[in-house]
Amino acid sequence: MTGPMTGPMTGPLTGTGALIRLILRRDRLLLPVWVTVAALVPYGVASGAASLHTTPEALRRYADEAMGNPAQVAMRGVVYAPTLGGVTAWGAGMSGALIAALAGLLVVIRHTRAEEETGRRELLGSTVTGRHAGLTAALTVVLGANLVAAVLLAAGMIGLGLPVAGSFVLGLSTAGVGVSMGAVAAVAAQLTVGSGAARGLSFAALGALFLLRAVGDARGSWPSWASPFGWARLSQAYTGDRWWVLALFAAFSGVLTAVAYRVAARRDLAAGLLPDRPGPRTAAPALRGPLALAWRTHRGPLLAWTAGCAAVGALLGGAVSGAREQISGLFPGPDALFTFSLLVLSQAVAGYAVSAALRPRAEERDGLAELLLAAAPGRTRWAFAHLAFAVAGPALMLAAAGTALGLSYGAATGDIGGALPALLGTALLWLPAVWVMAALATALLGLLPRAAAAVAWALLGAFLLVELAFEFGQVGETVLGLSPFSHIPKPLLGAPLDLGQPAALLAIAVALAAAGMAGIRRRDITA
Amino acid sequence: MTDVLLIEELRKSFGRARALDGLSMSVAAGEAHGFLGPNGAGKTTTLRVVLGLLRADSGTVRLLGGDPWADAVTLHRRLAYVPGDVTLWPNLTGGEIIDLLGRLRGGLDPGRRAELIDAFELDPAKKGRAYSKGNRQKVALVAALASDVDLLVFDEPTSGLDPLMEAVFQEQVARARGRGATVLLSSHILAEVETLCDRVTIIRAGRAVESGTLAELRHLSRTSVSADLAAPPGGLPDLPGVHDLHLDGTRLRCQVDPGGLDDLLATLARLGVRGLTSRPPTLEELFLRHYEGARR
Repeated sequence: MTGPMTGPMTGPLTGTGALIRLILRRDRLLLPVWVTVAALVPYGVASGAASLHTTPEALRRYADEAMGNPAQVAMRGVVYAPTLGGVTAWGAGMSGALIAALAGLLVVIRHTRAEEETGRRELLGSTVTGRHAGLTAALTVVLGANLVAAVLLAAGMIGLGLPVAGSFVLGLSTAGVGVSMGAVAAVAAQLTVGSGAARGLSFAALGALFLLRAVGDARGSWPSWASPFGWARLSQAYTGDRWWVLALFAAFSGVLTAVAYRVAARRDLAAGLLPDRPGPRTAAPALRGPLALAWRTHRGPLLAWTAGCAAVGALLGGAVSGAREQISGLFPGPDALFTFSLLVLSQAVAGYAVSAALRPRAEERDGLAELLLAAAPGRTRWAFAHLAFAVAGPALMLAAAGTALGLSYGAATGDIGGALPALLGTALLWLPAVWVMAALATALLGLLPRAAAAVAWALLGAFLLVELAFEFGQVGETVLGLSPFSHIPKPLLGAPLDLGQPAALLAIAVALAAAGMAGIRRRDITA
Repeated sequence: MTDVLLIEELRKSFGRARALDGLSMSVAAGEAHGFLGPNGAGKTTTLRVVLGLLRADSGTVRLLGGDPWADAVTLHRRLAYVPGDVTLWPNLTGGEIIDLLGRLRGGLDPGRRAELIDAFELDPAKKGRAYSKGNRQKVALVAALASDVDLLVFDEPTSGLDPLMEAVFQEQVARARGRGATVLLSSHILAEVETLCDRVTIIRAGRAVESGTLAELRHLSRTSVSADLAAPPGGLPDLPGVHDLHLDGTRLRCQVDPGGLDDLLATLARLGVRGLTSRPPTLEELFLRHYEGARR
C-alpha cells in the first residue's frame, strides 16, 4: 500500500471523472430525453413553418402578423427577417432556450445541493474526491449535454435544407442559455442550505432574466442585452449569424462558475452562505394539524409565486400602455397580449400546482410521512392539506396577476372600473385548467406513486409542447384538445363566454382528485 | 394479561420480494418486548404494518384491540413511534416538531417535555435541517417519551446516540414502563435489548424463529466456557456437545450444549484446571447461532 504522500496526484478536482460517470448513470433516462426534446422542438417548428408558409409572401405575411402582436414579441422576441430561417429561429428560439435552461438548472441542483442535503455528498466526499469534483462534474455534464443537443439541433435543421452556419448559431446559442442557467443554479446551490430553496432561487433568476428579454424586445431597447435569453435571439441565427454573441454566454457562465467555486471553497459541507438562525423553542398554538404543517411547508413558495405573478401583471399592464403608442398602426389591441400572457402565466402556475400536489410524495420518500402518519392524522387529511394548497394557491396567484394587470392597465388608460373586473375575471377563467393539472398529479400520487412525479411533469411538459406543435401545424385539433389549456374560452378575443368547457374541466378535476384520494387511502406508504 | 399486539401468519411482499413470510408474535401489556433480527429480516416492514402504513397481504394483526389498517387514526392516539432513520421538516425547529407530534397524538406533558429535553441535552431552537442524525433521533424520542401513550414503538432507537445518551434512553424507557407503558423495541444492538427487555422475538427472513423470555431462550442454548489449564494438553478428545473449541497454549475456549457440560467438566478436571469461567451466552451469541445458517 502506498502512503498518503506517495499516491497519485490529488487535488480539488480528483474524482471528477468518476462523478461524471455516476451522473450519467443516474440520469441515463433524463439526459437523452432532454437532448432529444431540445433538438426535436426546433425541428418541428422548422418543418411546420416550411409546410405552412410555402411562398416568400406567405412568410412575410406571417412575420408581419407576429410582429404586430406584442404578446408574440414579448414571448419569442423579434423576427429579424421574414425568411424560413428567420421564422424558424424566432418560433423555436425561446422554447428551446427555456427547455435548455430548465434542464440545466435542475440537473445542477440535483447533483450538487440536493446531494449535500441528503448526505450522499458526504459519503462521496469521504472517498477520494476533491472538494470541487461534485460541482465540476455537474457543470461538465450540463455543458456536454447542451453541446450534444446543439449538434443534434443543427443537424436536424441542416437536414431540412437550412444554412449550416445559421443552424450551428441557433444550436449553440440555445446551448448557451442552458449552460448559463446551469451556472446560475451552481451559484444558488452554494447560497442556500435546502435544495428546494436553491431551486426556487434559480427559478426566480430564470424568470427575471426571461422578463428582461421580454421587456427589452417589446420596447426594442437594451434590457435584452442583459439576459442570456436575449443573447439567444440577438445571435440572429440565419439572419446575421453573429457568432461573437456566443462569447457572452461563455463570459456569463465563466464568471458565475468562478463565483460558485469561490463560495464553495469558503463554506463548510452542508452549510449555506447564510447561517441558520435559531427558531422558536416551542410551537405556536396554531401549529397543531396537517393543514398548519402544510402551510409551513408551502408558505414560502406560495408567497413568492403570488408576488411574482403580481409583478408580472403590473409590468405587462404598464408595458402594453407604452407599446400601444409605439406601434399603433399594427397593434390589434391589448387583448391579444393579455390573453396570451394569461395562458403562459396559467401554465407557469400549473407548475406550482403540480409541485404542491406532489408534495406528499416527497414527504413519503423522505420518511417524513412515516413520522407524521404514525402520529394520529389520517392519511386523507394529510394528502388533502397539500391538495388544498395546489387548489387555493393557483387561485391566489391568478387573482394577484389579474388584479395587478387590471390596476396597472386601468390606471394607464384611466378606466380601472372597466379593466379590473374584465382582466381579473379572465385570469380566473384559467383556473379549471390549472386544477386539472393539480388533480392529475393527485391521481398519480394515489394510483402510481413511484412514477407520479416523472409522469406528472412529463404530462405538463407535453401539454405545453402540444400548443407549440399545433401552432406550427405538426398536430391537429384532436391532439391539441388533450391539453386542458386548450379548452378555456378567450372572451377578450371576442369568443363567446361559454362556461361549459371550464365546467367540464372542473368535473374532470374533481373526479381525478377523488380517484387519487381513494388510491392514497388504499395503498402502502412507501419510500 | 392481555396482548397489546398480536400478529398471526403475517405475510407481505413487495413485488416479487417477500418481506414477511408468515410472521407470528405477541406483545403482552406492560412488557418490554425486544424484536431482534439482522438487517433485511423484516423488522421495519413488520412495524410499518403494525402502524398501518403498509397493508398486509394476509394474516391478522390486532393492535390495542383494533385493526391497525382500518383504525389507524384512533390507535395512533395511543401509541408513539420513533423510526430508525428520523427525517425532520427542514424549516421547523426541533421544539416545534416535538410539540406538533405531541399535539397530533393528543397532547404531551409539558413538564416531562422540559425534563426530557434537558436529559437528552437537546437544543430545541435549531432548525430540523441543522440537526445531526443523533439529534434528529432525540427530537423524535423526546416527542414520543413526553406523550402519554399506552405503547411505545422504537425502531433501532439508539443507532445514532452516543453511549451516554444510550444510558439516558434506557433510563427514560424504564420510567415510561413505570407509568405502565408497553414497549416494543426493534434492534440489532443486543446489549440494549438485554438491558431493557423482558421477552424477545427473533426474526429471520420474514419469520419469527424464536420467541420467549431471555431465560427461556438461554435454556435452549449453550454455555460459554473458558479455562486455564495446568499444562498444555497434547490433544483433546472429541467430546459430544462441544463446539467452537479453541486452544491457545494452556487457554481453552469453547461452547457447550447443556447435555455436554458433564463430560467437558470431567475431561477438564483430569487435565488440571487453574482457572475456569462459565457464563450464559450473551444475546450476541444466541443471535449468531440463529443466523449463522442464513449467512452461509
